[in-house]
Amino acid sequence: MNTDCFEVGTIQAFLDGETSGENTARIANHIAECDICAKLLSEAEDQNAMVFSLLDREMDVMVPTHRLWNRINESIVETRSNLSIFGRIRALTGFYLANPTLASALSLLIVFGVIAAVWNMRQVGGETQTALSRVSRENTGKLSKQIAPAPIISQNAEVKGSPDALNSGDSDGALQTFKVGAPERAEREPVKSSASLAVYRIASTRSSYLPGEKVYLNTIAGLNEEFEANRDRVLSPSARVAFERDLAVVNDAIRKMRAVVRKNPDNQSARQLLYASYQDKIDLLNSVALRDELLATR
Amino acid sequence: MNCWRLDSRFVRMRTILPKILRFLVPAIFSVGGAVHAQKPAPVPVPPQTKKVRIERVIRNTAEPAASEKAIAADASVSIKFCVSEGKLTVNGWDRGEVRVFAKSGREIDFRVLEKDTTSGKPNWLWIVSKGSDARRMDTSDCLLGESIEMDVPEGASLNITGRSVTVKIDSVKKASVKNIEGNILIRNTKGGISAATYHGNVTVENSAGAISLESAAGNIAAFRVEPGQVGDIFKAKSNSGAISIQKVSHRQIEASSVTGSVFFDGAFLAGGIYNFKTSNGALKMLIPLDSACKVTANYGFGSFDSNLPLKFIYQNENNKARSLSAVLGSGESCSLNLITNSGSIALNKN
Repeated sequence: MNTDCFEVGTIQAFLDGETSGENTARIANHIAECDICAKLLSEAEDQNAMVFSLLDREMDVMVPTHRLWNRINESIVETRSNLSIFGRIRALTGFYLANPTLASALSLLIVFGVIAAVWNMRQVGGETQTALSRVSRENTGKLSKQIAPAPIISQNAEVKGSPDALNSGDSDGALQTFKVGAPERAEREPVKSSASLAVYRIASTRSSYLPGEKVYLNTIAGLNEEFEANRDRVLSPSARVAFERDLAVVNDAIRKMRAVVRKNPDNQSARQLLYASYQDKIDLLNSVALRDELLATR
Repeated sequence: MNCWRLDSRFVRMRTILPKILRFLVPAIFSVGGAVHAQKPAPVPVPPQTKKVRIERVIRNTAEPAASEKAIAADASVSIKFCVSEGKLTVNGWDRGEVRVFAKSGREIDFRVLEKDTTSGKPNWLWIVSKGSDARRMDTSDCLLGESIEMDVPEGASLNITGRSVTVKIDSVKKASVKNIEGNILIRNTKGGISAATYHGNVTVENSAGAISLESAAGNIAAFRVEPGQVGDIFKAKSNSGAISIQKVSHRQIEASSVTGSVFFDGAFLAGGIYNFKTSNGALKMLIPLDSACKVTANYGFGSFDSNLPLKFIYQNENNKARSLSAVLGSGESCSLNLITNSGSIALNKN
């Protein structure tokens, strides 16, 4: 080892790249000529290699840890999604039971909710009953009034009940169809009471129409209103008898075909017949409107 | 002695008479009252002046026995009028003149709505009853008479509305009739017909053009009718009446009755579309054996019968919504659609 040789610290600094550019060149030249320093450098490199290998392991440990977290999170999400309803309820109950204040507040909320729901149900049920009984009374009154002079007119009582009720051939069916499947009247007329609103809500949730059927029903309802308003003025008794007979035939056809279509909505021929019957009804009512128009102009 | 007797009698009379009168007077009055009550009150005889006044009123409101009027018109004049009541007969003639004769009805007046620029003759005419207000259109405009006869140019187009009128039209170019009640018969009209009556029959024969016939409570019959040009449609619609179509050569025919039957006797032409519909009546087709058509039938609760060779594409014999599709004859050159809810369909050879 000569006096020009460097210390281990300097060689280590050289190896770490901590020396200045001039020193680095000087050390590099010296190491190229001095075996002792070259050996020191080699030892320092070995030490570095060992240290870096240790550091690498440490760094490698960091990466898998992050990945591990990700994997853990994913597995948690997966586990949660796969968790059964009972498992979730159990977990939730466990969580809430762990916190008594939260549990009591939740139970209070549940109790209030149940009471409110029961109260609303009773009220709606009562109003529905009232409305239906009122409708029933009105219909029976109307029917008894109209049946008394001429039984043929009873067909119209049913027509008046609701647009869907036009489709039913029997007058008893009018109320029933109004209950379960005729929102048009409720849509057509302004809703006057919460009772009728309730009936409408019930009806609208349970009804189902074929494509385009609603348009037919709305048209029929409009024409029917017009007809009801002008019936006595426009039609002579004999003409009325003929008209009522035709209307009864069409209503019967509609009722029958509607039943068939409801059983099998994919039956295209039944659908076509139903639409044809609706069209017949529109034509019938239109013919009265035409007569009315002629009477008015002439 | 005698004087005493007389005197005593007189005295007795004087005492009895008031008693008799006391009973007699009320009795006379009561009998008289009863008799008076039984008799009707005597009709007061109107004074002579009032009688004269009534006669004048009657004279003013009375309809004339007959009224006739004529006007020179363009050969293709459009005429519109309405008739309140009566029997209307319109005939086409080969003169440029419109003549109207009304028996036992209102007097007639012509209103010229437009004149032809070249000939100067009216080409749009409104026939009204005399004295009606020109500014408003109401029932007073309408012609009224036991019978109304019109002679119009053969090229005339008529637009008639009526309340209770029996209409007969012959040999005009075009006719449009709307009537509340009464039969309509139109013949030899080659430029198209539109006839609608609420209560009455509609008959059209030997005519051409676009045809639209409607009767709410009456029958419809068409015989020897052809299209005026390509695309003319024949339409017939009735509520409770039957529809009979014979020798109609339109390529598009639509006939529907709610409770009545539809009868067709003729040929299905190539490229034609034929739609026949009834709710619960019968559909009966009498067609040539060599007809070639695609037949589609929806007969719900009804029945289908054919003695013509049909090649079925499909047949649904579900007892609630029966239907079929078939090929009649050699090909599918036309389309025949038959719809009935609960009636019967029959295809027979004529």
